[in-house]
Amino acid sequence: MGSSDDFREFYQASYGRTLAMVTALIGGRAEAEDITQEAFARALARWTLLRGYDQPDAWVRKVALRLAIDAGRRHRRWLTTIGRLTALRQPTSSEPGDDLHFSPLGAALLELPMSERKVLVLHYLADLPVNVIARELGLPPGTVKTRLGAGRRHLEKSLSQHPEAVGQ
Amino acid sequence: MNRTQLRREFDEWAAPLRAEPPPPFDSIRRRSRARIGRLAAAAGSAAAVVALAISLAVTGVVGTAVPPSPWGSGRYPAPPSQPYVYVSFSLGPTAQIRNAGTGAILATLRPPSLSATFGVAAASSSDRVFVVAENLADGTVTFAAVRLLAAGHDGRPLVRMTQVPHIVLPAQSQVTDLVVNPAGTRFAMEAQALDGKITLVIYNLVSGSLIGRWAAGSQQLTSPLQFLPDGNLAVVWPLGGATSTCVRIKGKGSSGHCSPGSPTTQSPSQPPQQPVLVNRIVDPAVPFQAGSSLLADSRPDTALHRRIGTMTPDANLNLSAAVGPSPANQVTPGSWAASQPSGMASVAESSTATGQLVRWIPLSPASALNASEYCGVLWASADGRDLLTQCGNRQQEVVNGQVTVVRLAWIFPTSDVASVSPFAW
Repeated sequence: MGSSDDFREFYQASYGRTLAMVTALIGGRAEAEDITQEAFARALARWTLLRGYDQPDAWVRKVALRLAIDAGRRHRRWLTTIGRLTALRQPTSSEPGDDLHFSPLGAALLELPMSERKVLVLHYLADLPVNVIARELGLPPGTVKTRLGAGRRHLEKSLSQHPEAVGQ
Repeated sequence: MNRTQLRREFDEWAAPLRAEPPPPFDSIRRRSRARIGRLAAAAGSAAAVVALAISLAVTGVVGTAVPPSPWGSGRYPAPPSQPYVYVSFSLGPTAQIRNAGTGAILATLRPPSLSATFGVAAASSSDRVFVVAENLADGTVTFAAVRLLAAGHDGRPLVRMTQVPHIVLPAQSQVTDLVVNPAGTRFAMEAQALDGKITLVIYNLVSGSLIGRWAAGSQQLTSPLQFLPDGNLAVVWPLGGATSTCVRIKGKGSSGHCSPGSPTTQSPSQPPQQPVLVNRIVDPAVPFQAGSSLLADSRPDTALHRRIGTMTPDANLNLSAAVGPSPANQVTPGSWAASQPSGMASVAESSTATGQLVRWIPLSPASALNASEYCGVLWASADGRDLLTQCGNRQQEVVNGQVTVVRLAWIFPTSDVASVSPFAW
């Protein structure tokens, strides 16, 4: 199997998982797709190196996470610049369902601070254990546990205010 | 909601996204190639910029990586960033402490009252202690000491300005000389009152006390005061009257020559002679009795035969500016003027020990002189080998005999009083 075929297989298998993680982090579907594709494009550029890794998806996840955080900062700066829109928190997508805001879980996620959101997303969407999250984020495991617990409590509290989500 | 329920919530929410078919692989490939192309273009641009900079540096269009000198087109021999006091009659009542390198105002000094103005300034060699004369509204003259302390939080020096007590010159007095010793611990001041009487004062800036005060009843201005390397003060003092003791004569005055330490007795029948100027050495460390004479409180100098203009800090050279003779003028063969560049303002360096001319340093064409702009030596190194000069709007440095035109941040104005300057550093 050539390197291109290797990457194609890896791309097909990992794209959706990465897209879900990025969407959960930044909220906007379109921007999440762009970030996910950018992460895979970077992976393709150095695939000859990455293909030797045990878990090349960890590299892609890390790049996507960094891009998502950068996008979140840009988004916050933009919201700060135009001030009033911060309070409105309107969905940026033109179609319901494309944005995280239209899902109770997504809306609850977006109300969390990014530090807690990152930990929750990596744990529940990327299925990473605490020690791996700690290594990838460069945090002590205790900090990850604390943020995981706090994020979970905040999420439960938010979701309890949405009967349609709790009642399922 | 327990953890299992929460995980199920996440799974249900993410299921459609995870099942999303990825974009065609070719789109990722194109994106990857475009990214590589962008990086290559950026790298190429950076390389082009570096290559352009190198080529410009090699061809001399732009300089190398050496930062430009803050002193303009030439190296200034004094340490950079030393502040100095600039006092001007023309810039209003305030005085500014300016960065000598950039001309930036570091601090502004205000006179003690709204109607007062600064007149004369002097600096220690450290450029950390200054003394300024203040012309008050009633005509009297007072003095203030200015100390530059360690830089404040904004990088500017902290300035402490304190009034000098004990010294108030009578109305209409003119400060004719003001010097601070190199350590900034003492200053000496010479002034002439409206009636022509000369007063010399030495003041201790550390203890805030008067060291000595002497008076001479002369109408003749004296030459500059100078603190010597040993801490003593060299003065030129007018002596007149029938029982004056002529210790040493300054120049070739009409009163004739006097040998060091030789008394001169005047006959009552002879017409009164003009006062003669004598070189004396005052040791400020010696306590002086009030009302004593300077002659009794000083000793003749035995080293300084000639004092013309200002001395270098090591007291070995005189520095005096003069305008050379025009080509049409006849000059005495063998005189200094015979070797002076004609039609030029120049500085004469002469030995204080022998009076011999050492060299002429051309400053500027005489035609470029401007009555409002200073002409002479701005700064001299201890041995006089390095100089900073200005004549009119032409400023230059002299380093190891090589003269280079420089451009300082300021054109210094001239003074309307001999021996004192409205700037100091």
